[in-house]
Amino acid sequence: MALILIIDDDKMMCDMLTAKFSSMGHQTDYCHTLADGLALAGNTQYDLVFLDVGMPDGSGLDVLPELRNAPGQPEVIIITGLGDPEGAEMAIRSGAWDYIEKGSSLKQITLPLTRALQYRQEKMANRPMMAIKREAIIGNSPAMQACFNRLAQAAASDANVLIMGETGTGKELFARAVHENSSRAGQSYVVVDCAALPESLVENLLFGHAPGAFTGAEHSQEGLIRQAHRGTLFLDEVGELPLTLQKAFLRVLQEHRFRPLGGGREVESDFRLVAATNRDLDQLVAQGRFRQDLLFRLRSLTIELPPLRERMEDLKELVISHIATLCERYRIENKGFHPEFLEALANYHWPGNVRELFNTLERAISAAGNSPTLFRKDLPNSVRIAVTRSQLSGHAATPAAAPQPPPLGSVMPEIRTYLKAINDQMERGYLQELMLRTKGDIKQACQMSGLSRTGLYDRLKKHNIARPTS
Amino acid sequence: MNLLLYSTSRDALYRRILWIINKLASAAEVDSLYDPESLRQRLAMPLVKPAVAVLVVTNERELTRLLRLVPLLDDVRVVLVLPEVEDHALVKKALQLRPRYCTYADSDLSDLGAVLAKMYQVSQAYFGKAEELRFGSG
Repeated sequence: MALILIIDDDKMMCDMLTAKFSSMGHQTDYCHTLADGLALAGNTQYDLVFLDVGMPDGSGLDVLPELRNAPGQPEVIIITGLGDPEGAEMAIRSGAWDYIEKGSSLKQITLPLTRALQYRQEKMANRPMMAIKREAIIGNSPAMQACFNRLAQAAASDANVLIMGETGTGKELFARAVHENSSRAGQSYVVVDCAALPESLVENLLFGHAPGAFTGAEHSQEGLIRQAHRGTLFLDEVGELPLTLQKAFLRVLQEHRFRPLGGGREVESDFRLVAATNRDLDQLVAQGRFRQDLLFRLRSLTIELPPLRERMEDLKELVISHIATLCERYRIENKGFHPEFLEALANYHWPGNVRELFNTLERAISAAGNSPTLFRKDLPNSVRIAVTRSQLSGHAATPAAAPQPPPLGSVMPEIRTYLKAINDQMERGYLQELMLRTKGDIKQACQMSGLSRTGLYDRLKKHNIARPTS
Repeated sequence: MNLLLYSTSRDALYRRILWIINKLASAAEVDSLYDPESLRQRLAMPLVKPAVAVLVVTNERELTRLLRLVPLLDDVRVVLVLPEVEDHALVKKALQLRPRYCTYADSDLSDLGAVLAKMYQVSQAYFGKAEELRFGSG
């Protein structure tokens, strides 16, 4: 028996469908407005919703995403006007399971119903029911729930996992959670930071070497792949894995055997692979910078983490939790926050995602000093300015105007020189702001910036920045 | 980038690592910590992100003490300098610190220099991007 909700302002249609569905053994509720439908779906875990498009209080298509995310996460079948192909197409594009036209025969109506319920039954059967350990991952939004479901699936299997998401969305936390919830939890968890390793070192690091493999290799060294034997190998920023090594790694992934550099015999490693990237790997494949066959292997199971701006309903929980963590770490009384503080955070765009949020909270706590409450003024100026701008323009805030990089000029500088110039410019801006905010109080400036006293003085001197006098 | 260098001794190894680090960044960015408690205290204070901690581990007992700091190392890139390449048990235990790179005291440490240089380079590029825009003029 399924639980079905009909949202249709046509009472005859409701009665007819209810009678038919009851005869099929299903329990049916109905209502005649979208508002009532949303309220019912919010309180009952329906399996299926029949939703009329033309309702007295709006278009059914507008509430479709909200209905799909209701507690029962029901499938939705749209009821469209007769001969309305545009409406039907829109319904499917909006995530509806199917559509029926008003005036269809009962058989035509029950067919999509039966199919939708079969699909749902299979989906529920495949959904992992295990409870997952995820202490460090905060959030219960529908977007995160979907990620937790994938996480549970990943933990229950031994398939390769590819975690995708923007910088700061928590890819490493998820990778660790996959390991800690898997049958390999008691074994090694080995991280390979593909972005931080020079190309010349990666091969040796992954595969290890035998004594005498190259000049200076006096002893044998076990590679990370072997160290991950019976455990999990986490390739962070896998998009940065040198193309020259991808073929060799693909072979290891297929055979779980490899030969260390200079080694005479093959070594076995029974590892489970989790990889993460913030890059578009399909695009890298198209550019010839990533092997398609490796990508195919990597994404046996994927977890796509949402950016913070797409799960703002988690913001308050993230803020409360991280403030408590930081206060405990700093050994100070837990701080509360003014509603305006949260409102400002909610109006910011968070391009750096949760990591940027956490860094912002760290700065806000430093700026608040002994005050038991965080106020909007404790937020970094760039966030406050962006939020103020967005409130004036009515758009979600993007970061405040950043300093422009120095012009390249007619002669192209070396990248190291150019990056140093950018760094100097940013550092100078930061220090000027630091001095303004602390009114030149060196102790507070050290606390806020994390710099040592000597370090701060060195930098102020380097940029010729004077302490403001009160 | 905040760079923490933990080493209980001030021997030739420490001086070599410090020399490598100072070649990369001004001394102002480096905090030297001499014992696990001072490292704990420093980690409990705000760090300029991204932060890298180079931990010189001399024996298993010291490693065990450092493992207690794992919760504070969540957002810190750990680079380990271990005593012996062939002490597989120690290396395996050290993995619990989730190091981004591991090298050994008996090596010439050129690898450590290359890895820290790459991390520094990445952090500099990163510095100009969205994450650190809040340090800008606003």
